[in-house]
Amino acid sequence: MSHIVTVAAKATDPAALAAACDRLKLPPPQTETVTFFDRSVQSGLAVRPPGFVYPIVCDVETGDLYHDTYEGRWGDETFVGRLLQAYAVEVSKLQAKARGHRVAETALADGSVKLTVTAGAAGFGGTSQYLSAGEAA
Amino acid sequence: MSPRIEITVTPAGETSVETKGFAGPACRAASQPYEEALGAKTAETLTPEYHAAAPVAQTVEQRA
Repeated sequence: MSHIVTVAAKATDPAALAAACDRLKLPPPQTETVTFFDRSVQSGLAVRPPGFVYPIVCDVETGDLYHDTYEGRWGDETFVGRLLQAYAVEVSKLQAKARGHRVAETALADGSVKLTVTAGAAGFGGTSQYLSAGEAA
Repeated sequence: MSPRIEITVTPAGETSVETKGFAGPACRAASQPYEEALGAKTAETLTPEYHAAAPVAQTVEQRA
């Protein structure tokens, strides 16, 4: 290997978030303004997993996710991680597609997903055709 | 080994990006678009391959 980078995923791409919802068999995210139990208000793309009292709201400007699961009583807290996992997978696949790279997806025993990206005809130096999140939708 | 990028995402959404089979700093340029698309870099480790010279075949090609 050459280098290893850890990344804190930030959900800033609406197209990838929509693909993540599709991957998790959820309805597409909708633009909403949500008032949470503590009266805090968040606007963004709302994802409504089954069993959640309040949606998960994604601020695509910052990539932050807002939710209130009341320690699991109002929704499965682990689902937030699964949404972020699905987002990271889908945004990577969109990048690969835009750059003409090939992607192989492998499900690991611990629930992780591994993507192996190899270069297309243009190599790894190819220019992205991925203009922006909205335009890529 | 042909150059490749391996992206691993845990069920909690923790993400790592590893480059393999690259020699020298080309790996950074290759993985940077993925890192930027994913979010904010929190840590980076350079491996011995990073400091290796470019492969001979590639050097010859560039001079041709």
